[in-house]
Amino acid sequence: MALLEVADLSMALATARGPLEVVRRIGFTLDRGRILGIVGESGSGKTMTALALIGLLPDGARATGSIRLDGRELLALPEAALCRLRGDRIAMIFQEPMTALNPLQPIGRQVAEPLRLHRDMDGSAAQAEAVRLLDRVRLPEAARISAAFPHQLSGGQRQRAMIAMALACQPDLLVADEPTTALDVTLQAQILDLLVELVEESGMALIIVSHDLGVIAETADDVLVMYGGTVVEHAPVAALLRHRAHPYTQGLFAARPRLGGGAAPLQAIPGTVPDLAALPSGCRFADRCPLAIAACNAAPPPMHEVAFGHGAACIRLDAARAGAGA
Amino acid sequence: MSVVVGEAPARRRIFRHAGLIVGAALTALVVLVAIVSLVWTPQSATAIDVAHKLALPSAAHWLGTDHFGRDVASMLMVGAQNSMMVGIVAVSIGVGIGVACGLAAAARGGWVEEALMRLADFTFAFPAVLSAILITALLGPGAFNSILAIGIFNVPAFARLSRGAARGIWVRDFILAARVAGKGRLRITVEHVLPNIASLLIVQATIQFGVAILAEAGLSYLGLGTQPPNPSWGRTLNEAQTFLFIAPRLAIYPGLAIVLAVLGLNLLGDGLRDVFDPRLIRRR
Repeated sequence: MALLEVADLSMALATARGPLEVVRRIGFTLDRGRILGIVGESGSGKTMTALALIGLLPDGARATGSIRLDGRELLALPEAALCRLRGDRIAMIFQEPMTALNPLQPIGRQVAEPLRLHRDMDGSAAQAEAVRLLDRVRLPEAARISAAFPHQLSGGQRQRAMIAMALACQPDLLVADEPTTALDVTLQAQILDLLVELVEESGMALIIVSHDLGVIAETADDVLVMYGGTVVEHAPVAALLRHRAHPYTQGLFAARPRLGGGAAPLQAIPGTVPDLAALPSGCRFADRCPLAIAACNAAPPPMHEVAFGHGAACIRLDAARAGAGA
Repeated sequence: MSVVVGEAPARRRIFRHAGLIVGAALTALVVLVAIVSLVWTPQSATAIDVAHKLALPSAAHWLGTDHFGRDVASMLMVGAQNSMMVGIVAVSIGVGIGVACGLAAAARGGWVEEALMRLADFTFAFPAVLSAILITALLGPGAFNSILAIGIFNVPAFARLSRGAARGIWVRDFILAARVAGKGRLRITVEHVLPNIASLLIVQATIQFGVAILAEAGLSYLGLGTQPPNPSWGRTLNEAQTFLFIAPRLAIYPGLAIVLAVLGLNLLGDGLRDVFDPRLIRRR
């Protein structure tokens, strides 16, 4: 049995104009020791998916479907049970390390917080463990950093502290929402390397949510490409790097800057992410897709198997393959 | 590792802020006088000596005597004690109930928030002194009831302030991080929200302290607050009114005491806000 099994997960936000479906019928599985990348533009529903996994949907949001952690249905759990799970079995790190720490508490106290909550550790034991955790995320002078306040640390140091806090109870699943977006490029690589190392050491499962294909390609084993709240393509990273089946994924690759690419302008995908209040009934990418035909707007495209473990939700895969080959 | 020391600039800001220093000095003076009056006053504040009524300031009576021959300096000193008591109790009531309601509203949201805040709006709709007069008229005049009344109209001010500030904190990432760590709403409120809005509350409490002193003086002036023979600034002022043309100084002394105490607390509150409010610091 896989550690995490997500099936048919849909999410709707309550708005004045009625429910707004921000995620539609997505599904995936994740084993221990594996890294899943979720990639998509702003508004593709990737952060909502991450929040649903940890049971922290915004007020008024409703999730349906199934999220099973070790066979246990999370969507059915009451808040108190979720509180016990969070920070213990599931942990999360965020995009903005500058604001994700309480400015009034020393780092060590915050890193030790999950231990006090879930392991009933007393102050000094938790404090010692916090120093060990800070050391484990390769922070030099861990004891000194433990006593420091957030404003005394750099962005990279804070993100490492956040990771230490997430690791405190040795979670089964770590969800990283844009973990490196707010950091310098050189720091990005270090943090990603650290995350990969920690996965190898601890055998936990990691989900990295990012808009940056480079980040996903460097770290993940499998990729989920999201668009307009749906999964448009899923594949092992190596397979996706060889062949992008879905026109949206192809567009996403073409839009990414490359070293040595000369002065050629980046290829933007025309149009914008669809308005969630007025989603098309058919393929959500149709009105931006260069290959769209009338049938694309008729019904949501089913997931087609491109290769083993590699699927794309598109009815124009042959045309997309021809275009990619040319 | 780069270690920025945040304490020294804060200290420097305090000593550079003229309003803050003046406010702190005036407040300290009033507090000191109130404390001294607990153990010592130049004369008894209630002893009547009609033979020496309306006396001019002298060595025995520093600020002279009133129409009953009572020592004005002693009365003002004991009055300071009275004003301090009013401020402390009324602000405590306001902070205790108001902040709890505000934090609960921000933490729970939904109908709890709506109900609490509409209740606060309702209380706010009546002018504060008017509702204090109403409460003392209903419960009967007296020091205790006037303090209670002032405390009650302090509640919505603190409820609104703390709810607004707490909502600002609740959307911050470190609250999400705390929830991810598995903390419940109550624990997050106590450990993360309250400390982060504390500086704002301290500033507001200082200002409301001044307002409470002013309100008590007003109620006592109207005869609804502290009752004779206990001295209070408001009542001393009221009694002096009769002799305004014979001995205007009798009205000036308590008036000056009220002005200085309230001014001091307001300057202190404004100064504290300038020094501690992180939003104002960052703008510099």
